[in-house]
Amino acid sequence: MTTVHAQVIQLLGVERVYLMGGTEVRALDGIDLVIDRGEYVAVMGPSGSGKSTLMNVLGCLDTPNRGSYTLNGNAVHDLVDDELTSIRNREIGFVFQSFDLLPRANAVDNAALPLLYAGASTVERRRRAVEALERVGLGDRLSHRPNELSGGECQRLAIARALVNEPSILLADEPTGNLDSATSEEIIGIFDDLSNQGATVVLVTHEEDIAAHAPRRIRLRDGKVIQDSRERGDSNHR
Amino acid sequence: MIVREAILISLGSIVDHKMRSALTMLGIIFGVGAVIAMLSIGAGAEQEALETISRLGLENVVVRAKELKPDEAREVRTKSLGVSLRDAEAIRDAVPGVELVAPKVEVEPWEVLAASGTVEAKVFGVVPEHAGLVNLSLTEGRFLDPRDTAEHAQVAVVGEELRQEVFGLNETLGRHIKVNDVWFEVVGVLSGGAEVDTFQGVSISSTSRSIYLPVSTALRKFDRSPLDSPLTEIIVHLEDAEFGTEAAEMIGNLLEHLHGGADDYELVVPEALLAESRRTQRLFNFVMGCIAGISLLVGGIGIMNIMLASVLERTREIGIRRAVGAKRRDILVQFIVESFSISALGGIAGVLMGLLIARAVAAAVGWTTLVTLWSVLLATGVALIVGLLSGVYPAYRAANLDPIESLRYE
Repeated sequence: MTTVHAQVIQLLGVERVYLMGGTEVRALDGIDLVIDRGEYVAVMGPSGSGKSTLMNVLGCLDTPNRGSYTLNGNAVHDLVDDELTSIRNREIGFVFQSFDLLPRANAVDNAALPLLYAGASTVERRRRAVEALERVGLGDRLSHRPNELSGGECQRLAIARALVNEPSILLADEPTGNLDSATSEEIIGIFDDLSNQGATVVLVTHEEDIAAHAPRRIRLRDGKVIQDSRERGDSNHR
Repeated sequence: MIVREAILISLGSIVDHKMRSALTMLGIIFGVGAVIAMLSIGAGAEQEALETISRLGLENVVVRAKELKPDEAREVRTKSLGVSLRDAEAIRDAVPGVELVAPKVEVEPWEVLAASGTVEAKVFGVVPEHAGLVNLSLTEGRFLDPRDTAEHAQVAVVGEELRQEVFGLNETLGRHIKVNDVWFEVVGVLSGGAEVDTFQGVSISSTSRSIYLPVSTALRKFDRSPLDSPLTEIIVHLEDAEFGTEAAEMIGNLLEHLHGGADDYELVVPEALLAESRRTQRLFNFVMGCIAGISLLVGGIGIMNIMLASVLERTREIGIRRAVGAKRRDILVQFIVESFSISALGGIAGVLMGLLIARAVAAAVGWTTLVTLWSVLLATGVALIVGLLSGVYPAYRAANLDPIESLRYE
């Protein structure tokens, strides 16, 4: 369904400026960034560095004021809301810090949510949701509601929801921020596995030991990339 | 997203918030219930009125002798004879469009006697055509015929209730009944009449306790006080009901002249009564419709209120849905369908409630109530429109939330 481009993400001179109480805030100030298919990237930086804005732009929730953004071969920087929405639906898998599940829906329905808006049939939605849940080890929790799941299980469920549409990139925003360290390890392990299976993962975090799992680390400060380092002998980078 | 999914989501949401949904629906339930109940009372009253009026006969105009107090009567009789055969002849000759003029006299019965004893009854002398004029029907035997009138025959047709009381299960035809001091042979029995005796102040006698005699016999065999009108009423049968009001006017002028201006008669025009009743009915329906409409409006505002609160409460859910691929339209549809579902369920419950109220009123107060299909359709239709409209603004607000802001909303 998705055509394959070697460069999944290509940002060129991306700027994002907000007006806050009359003063201009340059959240992103000329970002150039290329992420290849299958890369495992950690985005780091102190609060106010532009991490979240970058995340929103990469996730097509926000558009840059200037510069271009090409996602999997589509120029998305000047698309209108409906087009951005379908790009998000097809290309992006979000994992949020606070899980953001639908409290009243069971695991299958939560995981299948993106498929609902993709127009998949009831049978197909269920089949693919169960598949995704099995991938993250929740095959035995199909009809549980989020309040019947542990924090780690909730985040697994959120990852299953992100995977269900087979997106081009997985965007995780502080995915371990609400979890204890043992569970954090468990969740980050899932991202490692997914990366090993060939998924493109972008992880926003401020924890060094979490970021250490990613072979490529990008540091932001004041809306600029100040460091972009790759580990030697990077086995994931093809 | 397909509407079916939106319906499932909204039904799920209604079930998840049972209490809130029920309270939201209350306005619609009472609104719809009130509309249906009110209109059922109105329709019932209208039906009764129609039945009553049709017993008078729509194509008839009735000249009726007024009941006068003795001293009034003495004064009036110096000018006027009262309603008499002369009036009947004058109307027949002078008013165009008159097909038949049927005099009727009520006999004062001081004794009605049968083999089983005395009974209470109303006794009338009528012409044979009377039965057709006021829609009398028979269960057995025959009505009076022209020969009875010509021969001053001592025959009678009796009402159903009276027949039961006097003869019970026995054979009725050919038996005799005595009115005052005259014996009559029963030749026919009327089918049971409705119970209503007055309508808008006009008395319309029930036939179930009546005895009908040939008018000629009644006039000859029974004495009337000289202060009473010779006739009780004259039924003027017209060729065309639409001519009723005009004919009534002409008859009125004619009688005013004949009676020397004495106010000893009244004109009853069933067609005018019907029109009057319809006007009253329309007014009633309008007022009730307004009241019920207001309660539906209030119900709609209630739905809008809850939907706005619901949008606020579910901001984060909206953010998630938007992030994973819900378009603005999907969110819009979801919330409109939700408010529509609430009002639809409320509408159904309201219909049930309306039926219940209509029954309860009929049982408790004894009014006739009639739930019509169109009142049900009207009430539910309005409820659905109200639900749809009151969902539009909250849904619009929901659809235009910024996904980033919504995901940050605590």
